[in-house]
Parts: sequence; structure tokens; C-alpha cells
Amino acid sequence: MDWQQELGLTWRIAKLRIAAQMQFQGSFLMQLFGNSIMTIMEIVTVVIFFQQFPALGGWTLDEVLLLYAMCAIAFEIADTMQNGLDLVPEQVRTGDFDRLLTRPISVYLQAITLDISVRHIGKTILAFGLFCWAWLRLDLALTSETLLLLTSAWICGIALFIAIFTLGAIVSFWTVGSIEVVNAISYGGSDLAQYPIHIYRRWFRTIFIWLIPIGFVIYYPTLIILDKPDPLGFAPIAPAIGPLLTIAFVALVSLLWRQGVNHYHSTGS
Amino acid sequence: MPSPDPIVSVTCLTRTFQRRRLHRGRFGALRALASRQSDTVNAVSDITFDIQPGEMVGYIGQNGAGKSTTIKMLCGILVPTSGSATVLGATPWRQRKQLAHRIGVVFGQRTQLWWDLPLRDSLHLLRHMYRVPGDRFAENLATAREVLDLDPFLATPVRQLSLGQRMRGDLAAAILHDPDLLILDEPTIGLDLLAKDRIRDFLRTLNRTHGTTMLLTTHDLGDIEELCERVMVIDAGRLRFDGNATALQHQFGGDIEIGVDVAHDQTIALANLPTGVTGEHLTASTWMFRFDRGLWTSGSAVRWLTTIAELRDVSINDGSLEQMIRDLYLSDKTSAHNVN
Ligand SMILES: Nc1ncnc2c1ncn2[C@@H]1O[C@H](COP(=O)(O)OP(=O)(O)OP(=O)(O)O)[C@@H](O)[C@H]1O
Ligand SMILES: [Mg+2]
Repeated sequence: MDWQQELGLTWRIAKLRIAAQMQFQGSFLMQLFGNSIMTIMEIVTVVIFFQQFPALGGWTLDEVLLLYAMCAIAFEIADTMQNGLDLVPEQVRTGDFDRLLTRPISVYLQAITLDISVRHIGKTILAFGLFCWAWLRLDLALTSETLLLLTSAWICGIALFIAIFTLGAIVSFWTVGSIEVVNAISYGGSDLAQYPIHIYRRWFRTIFIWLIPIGFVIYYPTLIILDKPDPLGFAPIAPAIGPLLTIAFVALVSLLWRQGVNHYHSTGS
Repeated sequence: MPSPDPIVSVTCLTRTFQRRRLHRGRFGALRALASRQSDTVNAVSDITFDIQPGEMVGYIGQNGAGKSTTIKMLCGILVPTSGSATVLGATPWRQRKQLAHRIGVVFGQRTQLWWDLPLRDSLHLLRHMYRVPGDRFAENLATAREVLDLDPFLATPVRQLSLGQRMRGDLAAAILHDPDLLILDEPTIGLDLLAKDRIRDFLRTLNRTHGTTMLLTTHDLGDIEELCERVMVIDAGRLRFDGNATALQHQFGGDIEIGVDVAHDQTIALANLPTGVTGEHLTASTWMFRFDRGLWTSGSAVRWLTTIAELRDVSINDGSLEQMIRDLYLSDKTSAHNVN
């Protein structure tokens, strides 16, 4: 079976599971509502924070909101798509992971559809709303250049976030019980990227950009779209570096995933 | 006539596990993590066997004997420490995906289905996953619905199914793609008699109509008695017996025991009994006889008994497989009894 068919099948699984959730979980709308409320609270926090310091690092409130929304869109979409990976550590611990290895399709695609969660859809829509609002208030033009920057930022951002989540699942092939560590990495990373980078200490900033290259992928495109001064001087090469780093990181993670599955094959737990 | 290639061919298959030694007391977990001490468990040791097309083979042994470990290697889930296995011409752990198309796997302990989907959706997904032609799918589903009686719960999400319903669903899921080999790890665990009957019936039908080869592990010797002519016994990772279930009975079954209660005015003389028979007078009207399995069957023994006395009641202990296996474990024969 080639990868197109496998992707089609994965999408079919996801669709059926979403339908089943809407049908059998009466609490679906409640979940969606609860999650949206949480996101609104988060945004209000950012707004209040920036009213105290109106020009943090030279950024206005609307600019920060745009950056926040850029990041949130990628993160929420990734989080929706990767939900099943959260279950991998538990499945590895109990041996339920075995069953993914008895089927004729990609283990990874099966793993990300172990659980499909629609509760993030509300947050994704909110993030889009916020993005449009900030975009209009900043009176930015939608040129072919900005469009390219936006799509590449989102595609790379989603891929990166999913890769980071995957990294967390991979760890569990060796050390089961890693959920806390993963959350510290990925959720922590998301929070950091939602504020202007250059207010962080230099070493941290450097590690952050290179290790988890979300800075290049989200921060720099936003910076260029907003036409802000670049504190680090990477702006001219950032649009090329972001996708390259993403590809490298995704390749590394997929290699590690394969290693992890092989390790499972050889230890059985 | 050349014999066809075996469906499964296993040579000197061995699998060991390293188990970290547990430390007791304070900081036990930390010390276990820090020290490199570990014990080696020989889960499967040097096992060799073949399975021919159309065979139904029972694979039995005590808890921890190595049954599931063997099965995981045959499905390609686990890589062996040494030895080789060929399943349908493929090496399972190297050609896992190709093999998956041609085998059906059921783990009684855990479901293969999507827990939140109605059974019907799960089956349709599998149809796409295995690219089952429409007519084959329709026919297989119809058979499964009929023999396994799936209709009452086809629309129910898997997580709401009872154990027996779920197992029937899993079984249906495993055969949709017409597998040549069905590997079943405890397919009747925890089921009531009716559900067991359904499943055995289904497996028998499948074997008869499609010639599907089957390897099944079980702790329920009823499964073996009703389904498998051939049985393999594994103990502490070693194959201790491989052969005909009746041969197992002959070798390890001990005597056939028959207790009789005779009419009041009757008595049985214990002198001059035929060869292979010993008898004992228990109470006024009851006797106990033991028959050598090599010379007698329970049928011939009862027939003989009816010729010597008027029987009011007969109780036969033909030695259950369970008893035999217990004897086998206790017996100190170390070599595998290969009947190949
Ligand atoms: N992943 C593992 N890591 C360490 N030891 C293992 C692992 N899997 C199995 N074992 C050990 O290997 C041995 C054989 O286990 P296996 O599961 O094959 O037994 P089994 O015959 O299926 O038993 P049961 O009847 O209880 O299902 C046991 O001693 C078990 O503890
Ligand atoms: Mg087992």
C-alpha cells in the first residue's frame, strides 16, 4: 500500500472517530465551549499584561496578538492532529502497542489516530479569529509575499509542533512514563514563542532558536510581515532557514521514531 | 507427491528477556535504575516445529511458559534472540507489513478494534485497510454475522461490548481479509460456555470451508479437545511435546478409571481380571477399576464391565487433557517428544 492510500485510510479513520465522538459523547459541545473559554481567558491575560507594559521590546499590543495568533494557529492544529501520540506511552507500557504492529499500514499513522480530539477545533477557530482581528487592526496588506510567508510559517509550525510531540512519544519507547517531560517541552515551548524572543537572555534565546526552531518558523515571518527591526540580524535568511530547519528536524524525529519502534520490536515493552 | 511448503516453519527459535533486578527497601527504584544488574529470562528456548497447510494446532503450557512470546515472534511483533522462523514464506519481523496482509491475529487479552467506533465501522475500516474485494467482504461478513451472531451489537461502540461480544467482533475482524493463517492467543479466555461454543464452531467452519491454518494458545483444554488434532506443549520455554492429542493422552494420560455401582445381589470377582485391568472393592456395592490405556479405551472397558455385572451406575475418569498436562509437567522427561 503506498503512502497516498495510507493517508487516505488515516483520514477515513479520523473522520469516523470524529463522527463517533459527536454522536456518542453528549459532552462534545460542552468540551468545545469549555476550551474556548479557556483560550479567551488566555488572550485576556496577554492583553492585560501588555496594558501594563505598552511597548514590550518595542512591540505594540496588536503586534503581539498577531504573533500569539500565528503561533496558536499552528499549535492548535498540530495538537488536534497529534492527539493519539499522547496515548503511546501508556500503550507501550501495557503492551497494547502490539496491535499497531499486526496491521499492514504505517505504525506512525496508526499512532496519531489512536485518539482523535475535536475539542481543539474551537481553539483553532478562536486563534484564526484573533489573527484576522489583529491583521485588520494593523492594516496589513495581503500580498503574494506575505501569503507565502504565512503559509510557510504555518506548515512548518504545524510540522514542528507535531515533531516535538512525536519526540515525547519516542522517549517512551525507552522510558515509559514520560508524559510530564513531554508536556514541559512542548507546552513550555509554545508559551515561550508567544512572546517576543529578544526579551530572553541571550544563551536561552540561542538554544531556543536552534534546538526547537520555532523562532525561525513563526517569529521571523511575523517580524518580516510586521516590518519590525530585527534584533538578531537573521531576517534576510530566516524565510529559507525556517523550512530547512523544519525538514531537518522532522527527518531527525522520523529517524528516531523508527529507532524507537525497532527498540520496541526488540524488547517487547 | 511432494508435500506442500509448510505454512509455518520454525527452527531453533530462542528469545531471552533481560529483567532488571528489583531492589527492595529505600530508593529501591533508583538503585534498580542505577545498577546494571539484570536477570536473563529464557522465555522461548530453541524451539523447532513446522505447521502444514490446513492444520489446527493447539499450543499449550502454564502461565509464563512462553506461548505469547512465540506468537509475537510469528506475527513479527518481537524479534527473536536467535533462530529463524518463516511464516507464509516471509520472515515475520523483517516483512511485517506484507505478512500482515496474509495472517489474521487475535489477542484474547486485548482488542484489535477501535474502542470508540461501532463494530460495523471497525469492520469497514479493516476492509479498506486490507483492500478486501467487495464480494469477499460481503461473504465473510455474512458468515461471521451468522455463526458469531454479531447482529445484536453491530452498531454498538466497541468499548461498550461485553467480553464475549468483543471477542466475537475481534474474530470477525481477523478473518475479513481471508487470511491463510490465523494466530489466536487465548481466543476463549473469560468466555461463557455458549460464547466458547460459538467461537469453536466458527473456527471449525473456517478451517473446513477455507482450509485456514490455525495456531491457537489456550488454557481451556476443551478448545484443544474440540478443535485440535495436534498439540504442542511448551514448558519453561522448551517444547516438551509435539504430536497428536490422542498420543499425548496415551503417553501421559495414566489409566482410565471407572467406578461402578452394581445391583445389591451382585458381586464382582477380582481374581482373573483380563490383562491391563486392576480392580478394587470400595464399599458394599461399589468397585473401582483401572484400565491400561495401551490396551483399553473407555468404550471397550465399559462394554467389558457390562458383561461381568449388572451396573446401576458408572463414573468414568478418562483423564482430562488437563490431568495429562499436569502429569507431563511432573514427569521428569527432559527431551521433547517430537512425533515428526
Ligand atoms: N517484555 C518482556 N520483558 C521481560 N520479560 C518478559 C517479557 N514478555 C514476556 N516475558 C517473560 O517471558 C516469559 C514467557 O512469557 P509469555 O507471555 O510468553 O508466557 P505465556 O506462555 O504466554 O503465559 P500466559 O499463559 O500467562 O499468557 C515469562 O517469564 C515472562 O515473564
Ligand atoms: Mg500469554
